[in-house]
Amino acid sequence: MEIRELKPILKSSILELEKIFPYASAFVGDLDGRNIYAGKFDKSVTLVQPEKGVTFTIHDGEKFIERSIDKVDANSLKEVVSELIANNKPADKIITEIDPGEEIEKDFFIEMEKDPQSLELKDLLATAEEWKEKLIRISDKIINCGVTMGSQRVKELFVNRNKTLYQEINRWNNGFYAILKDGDLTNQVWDMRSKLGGYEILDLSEENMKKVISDGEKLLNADRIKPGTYDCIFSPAMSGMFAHEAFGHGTETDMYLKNRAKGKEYMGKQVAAKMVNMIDSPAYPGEAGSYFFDNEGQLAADTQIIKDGILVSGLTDMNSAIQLKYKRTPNGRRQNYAHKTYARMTNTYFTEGNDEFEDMIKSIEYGFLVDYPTNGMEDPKGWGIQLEAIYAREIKDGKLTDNYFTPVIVTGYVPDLLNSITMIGKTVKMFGGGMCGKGHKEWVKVSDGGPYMKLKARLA
Amino acid sequence: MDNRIIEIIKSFSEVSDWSINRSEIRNNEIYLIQDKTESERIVTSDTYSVVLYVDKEINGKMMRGMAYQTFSSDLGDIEVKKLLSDAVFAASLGLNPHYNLDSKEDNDTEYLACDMGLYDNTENAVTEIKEQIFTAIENEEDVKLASAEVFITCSSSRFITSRGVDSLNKKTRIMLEVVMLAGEGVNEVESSVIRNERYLDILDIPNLLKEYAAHARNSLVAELPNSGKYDVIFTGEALENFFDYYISQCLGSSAYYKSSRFKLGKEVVSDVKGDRITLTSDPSLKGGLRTGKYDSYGTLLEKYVIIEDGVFKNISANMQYGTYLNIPVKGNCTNTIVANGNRSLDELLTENTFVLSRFSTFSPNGVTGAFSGEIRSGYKLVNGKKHQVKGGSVTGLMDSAMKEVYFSKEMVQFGNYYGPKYIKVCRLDIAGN
Repeated sequence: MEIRELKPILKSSILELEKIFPYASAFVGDLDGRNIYAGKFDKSVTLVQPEKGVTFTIHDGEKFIERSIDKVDANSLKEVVSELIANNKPADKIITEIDPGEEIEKDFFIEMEKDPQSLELKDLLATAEEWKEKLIRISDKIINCGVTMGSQRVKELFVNRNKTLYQEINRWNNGFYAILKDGDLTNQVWDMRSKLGGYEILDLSEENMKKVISDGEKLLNADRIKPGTYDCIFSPAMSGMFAHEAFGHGTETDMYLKNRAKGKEYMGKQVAAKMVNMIDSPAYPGEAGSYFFDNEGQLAADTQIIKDGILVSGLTDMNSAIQLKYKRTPNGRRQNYAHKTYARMTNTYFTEGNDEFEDMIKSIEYGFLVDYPTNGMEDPKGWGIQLEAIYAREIKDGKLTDNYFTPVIVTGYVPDLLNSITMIGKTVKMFGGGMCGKGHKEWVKVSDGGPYMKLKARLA
Repeated sequence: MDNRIIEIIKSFSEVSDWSINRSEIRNNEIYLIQDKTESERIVTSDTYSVVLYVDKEINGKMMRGMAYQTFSSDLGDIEVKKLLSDAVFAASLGLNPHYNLDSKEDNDTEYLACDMGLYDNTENAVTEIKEQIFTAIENEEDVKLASAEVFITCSSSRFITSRGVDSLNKKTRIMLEVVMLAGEGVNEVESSVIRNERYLDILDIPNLLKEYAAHARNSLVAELPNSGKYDVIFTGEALENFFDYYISQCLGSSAYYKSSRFKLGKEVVSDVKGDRITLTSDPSLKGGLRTGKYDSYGTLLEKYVIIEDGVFKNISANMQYGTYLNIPVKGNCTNTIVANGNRSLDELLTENTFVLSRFSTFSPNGVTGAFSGEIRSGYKLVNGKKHQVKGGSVTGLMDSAMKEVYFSKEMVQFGNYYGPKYIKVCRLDIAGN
């Protein structure tokens, strides 16, 4: 059954639940897709494991109660509604009231020129194999490599007493990786990309493959950096991870509610250099973390987090916005129907500045260009930072040298780093290859990005 | 019901082998903010996960493709046939050198992964755990609860293969996340623990929260360490991924893809000055997160040594890579068992040594062995006194770091690890002041 067909039964279920409970809503998710892999040693065609099910949410006046099942037929839905009514009762005193929002009924679809589901799997596999052959030919130091491409189709339906919202989103992803070896030295490089759209946004090029492999070769003989605090230029990818890990998580306001984020005390205060601006937006056209409405029915819009160096807004889910009396932003997200909603990032990025990359390099007497981020970890309460990357290229007397270092870890105190930003590049680049967890679970698709940024950072 | 799926699979003449995992799961969850319940959730599912294998001869060589399909148990025959037809087609495209599923074997070993007390009384257990959390925090001075999440997952599954395996099993899993706060205002700090266990007594909530409450208090006085080369004792959650590089290097897939540096029968680290590692895979560790009788290829999993006294003894290979490498198939590494050493913590803890228990993340790269972690909790022994540290980082490469390493005689079990409670690695880089 197509989940769009569930609108009437879900609406009547919500009205039935709201005869007893102050608030009720329903969320239905349906995800499927296909992934192709062509590697040096093997290949595969994988059907993305479907995630289809429904969650009914009731608020009893004090707390949320949710029931999720992996069945979407009419009888199963009726059973769940009966179970919720039988096993729960409204709180004696209504402590929290929930606004269901303005009335709206609308379906949303992303535009695609070539729906990946309409393409023959064997043709996609053949394309991936062609790219894999091109990749192998780039370097004799490649001992293993592979090319991936695929798509995920997400259908979501949200219903409460005032809203009936449906969206269909398609994410296309492609990428490649290579393991390089020279004697006993081994290294791994990759480039993974994801955007909203169809096959028309396939984004593989020999030029990019050659650059990535060339950078990987340079890192084979690279030493570890001498620990210390240096002038650095973060690449757009590194700026993106900085935005996401260092500061983005710390503005998710469910963390404020738990007193788990220092950002709560800094709302309206200076946290970064005046030239710094940062935005989160699920309305960013075509980016991997984009959607039309969040999993609590809030329509997509931009949220400016940092304006001219001042922390001006957090990212809210419904509960934290109500409890903290903050403006609701479209950031209530679930991993899928079987998971709880939290305040989550979408597409998070530093905005552009006025500086040329060449001028940034020239301005550094001794420092490093840091690129190829691998992972990072948030610390909203302590504002400690951990960003890991595999590429640091030396800058000496205003010029890039041929000295490379790997891997590299950036640590420090977030406001120190944000306040140390002195130059910002003119072009924002976004990166959607990764997933974001809340702690170590609750994975959702996001992108992050920014321009080149000059700052001071402790590297090891 | 299961026979219905088997009959549908058999209607596809292209399918050479198959496996079915029927899994019924119930998840009870509670979310706490300070002393209030934010949310209660119940999630149930009843699914079939089917793997289909399709064989084809290409240029005189037998090849095999495989594809997964997962669907709800209530799907009708027509829908199931359509989904499996898609899987057959996908499998027929992704062809690789041939391998078989394993044949039916059995043993008398117990694979204990189900806390029956939890399984039979889940809702009471959620309430009991909630009370344990509140009581544990109340017993700690200067520490308060920020938030907690408790998930109790009970699963009952049946695993069937075309080669005769038919295995029933029940499992439980508790996910506990507790965040505590110490201090006031801008000086307030947090200490968070996330732990997954199969048995409530292994989780041992009172003692676990006591340990993390101490981390919270210690964090109030902790300072950035000085940069330099120091001996470091890893303990606590820092051990969870400590051996990831070793396990990755010992996999059959790493040998087949030529990304492993380890050579069978040779030392994994040369010129060792300290203890030599003995690492075993044990699928029958009571309560281990990776405890289980069969892998997805139908291989009966048993205990085996991977590295013994520093020498690489057995490649950790499943049916696919065992066939490709023409080596005995023992299944991928399950629970990681590391032999203890003969020194106590007191003997390992010498002047100017760091003892580090929590990092933002600490997971050595499986290909290069490079590791780095931002320090969240630990101390340095200076003039016989513990000086608390946080911030800064420890970095290194496993191949060189493990040349002088010492394992404690005290042992610890959590997650899928059973091994030394303290691991001392000599002369690591600490970056701080």
